[in-house]
Amino acid sequence: MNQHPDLADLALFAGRDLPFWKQWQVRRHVSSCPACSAEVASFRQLSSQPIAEEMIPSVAWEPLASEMRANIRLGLEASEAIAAYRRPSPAEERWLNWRAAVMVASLMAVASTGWWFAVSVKKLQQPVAVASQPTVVEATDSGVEISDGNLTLELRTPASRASFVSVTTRGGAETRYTDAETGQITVNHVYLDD
Amino acid sequence: MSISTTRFLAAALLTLSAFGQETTLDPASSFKINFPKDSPVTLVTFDLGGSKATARGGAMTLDLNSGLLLRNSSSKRIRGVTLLVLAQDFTPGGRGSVAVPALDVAPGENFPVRIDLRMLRPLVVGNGPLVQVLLDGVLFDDLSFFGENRLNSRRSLTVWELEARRDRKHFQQLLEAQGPEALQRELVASVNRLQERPRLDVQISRRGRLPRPASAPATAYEPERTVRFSFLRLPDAPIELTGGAASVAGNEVKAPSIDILNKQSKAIRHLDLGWVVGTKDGAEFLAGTLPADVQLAGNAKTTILDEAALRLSSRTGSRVIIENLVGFAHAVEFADGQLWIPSRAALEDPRLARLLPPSPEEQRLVELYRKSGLTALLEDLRK
Repeated sequence: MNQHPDLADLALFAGRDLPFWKQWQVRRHVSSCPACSAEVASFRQLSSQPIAEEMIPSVAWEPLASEMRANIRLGLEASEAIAAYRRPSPAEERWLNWRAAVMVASLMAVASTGWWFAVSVKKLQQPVAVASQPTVVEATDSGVEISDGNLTLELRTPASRASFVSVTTRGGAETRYTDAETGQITVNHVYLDD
Repeated sequence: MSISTTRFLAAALLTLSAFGQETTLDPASSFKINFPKDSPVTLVTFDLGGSKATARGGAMTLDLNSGLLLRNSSSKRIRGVTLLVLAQDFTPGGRGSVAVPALDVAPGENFPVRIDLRMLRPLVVGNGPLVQVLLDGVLFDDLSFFGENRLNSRRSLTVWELEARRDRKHFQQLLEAQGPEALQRELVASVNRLQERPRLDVQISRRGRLPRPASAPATAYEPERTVRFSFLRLPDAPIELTGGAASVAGNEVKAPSIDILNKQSKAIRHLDLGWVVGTKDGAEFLAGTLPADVQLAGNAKTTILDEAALRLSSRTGSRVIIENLVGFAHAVEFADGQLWIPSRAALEDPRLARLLPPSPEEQRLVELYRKSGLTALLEDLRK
């Protein structure tokens, strides 16, 4: 390594946080460069200072530090990968364009086929109510209801009328209310068939 | 513009018009009322005002707000009517009924019945009427019955009529013995009980499995445990509940079993047991009834087993955790057709009074008192 490593690399080197190959390169440079060696020494001195009392005790510093180290390594490797990227030649670019076109066409074909199947299956299934869940009866303030998720029949209780609701273990639900106009009692009931 | 483009635009316009469109329903094609020729009640008028069909997405919602005016065409006074409501394309393995108990309709008089329905189904065009209304049963003042009785409405109408007679007699005796003020106090207490009564929404599935509620967190899991029933003992009950248990998990209870002893020498053919649920915060609710057809000989024992699953949810949104279960005898039908219901004295028990809803007749009398005052109530009780 002819040039001086940048400060970030020196800091990471001081904390032994560089990847193996980079760590070896920086070590070689630092061993023969007094300026960089001094920087590394100052970083190590800083890191050895007691800072625990300044830290927030409730924060889990160890996992946080590991995560930060991992992120730094990932960033460094990504930057190396970008640096290594070479622009393809015109002939290679044509090859890449052709491959991209084939890929896009294939994806479109898959999507179209999927859509066609979805529509066809939907058309076939339309008249048939598929029971996706067990048939349940329910008694609430708004009325009694029997439903299987697709089909629903609700006998409604007029709003703001006091009602009594109850169910039977045979699969019946009942609500009873007083008609505001006539004062007549009405009992709405839904039943599961035997 | 090419033919294919024109077809596409036409299809798109039709599709758009289907979404969110409201249609007023034609009574003749959407509602069919089928009473037998010898029916003691006949249809006078029929109104579907405000009923509509709405297409939303791939589903169709129908709101049917119907008012029927029926006439007592028989020679006897009618005490109750049950109509069977069939909506073939909408009802997933079930049916509905609308009953009107606590009636007193003289021969030749008219009375209204209101049927408010909401139905939801996939957007498929079907043939025939959307809803059919049939007569399931009519109960007369001599306790005779007319009808197909497909919903066992004979039993329910008779129980309501017996409760009505019991409660009218109680109020009349109270009026005679202690005067209008005592009756007024009793009705005010009834009004207060109505208002204070805790309310829960209840779901039930007969197969022992309820669909997961949409609001339930994916990680919510309540371990199942067996909870033993305790029992409210009514002194005049012909049966004794001797033991029982159910499986409880959070706000769900399933597979109840109850041991029963017939204390009388008469055979029993049907039982209705009340089912009270106590929650962790100390509240108690009447969740429902456990009906059972039995062949229980005099002085014999049996056990009722059921696979049903029941879920309770609070209307205030607070979490319901079931802590204990209480059972009691609600109605008994003997093999000879006679019925037993709890006496008014048994219902004076503060716990039962708090838990049980009033009879339909008491509910009607309370409404009459609230709406028209004491004079109208006294006039009704003197009939």
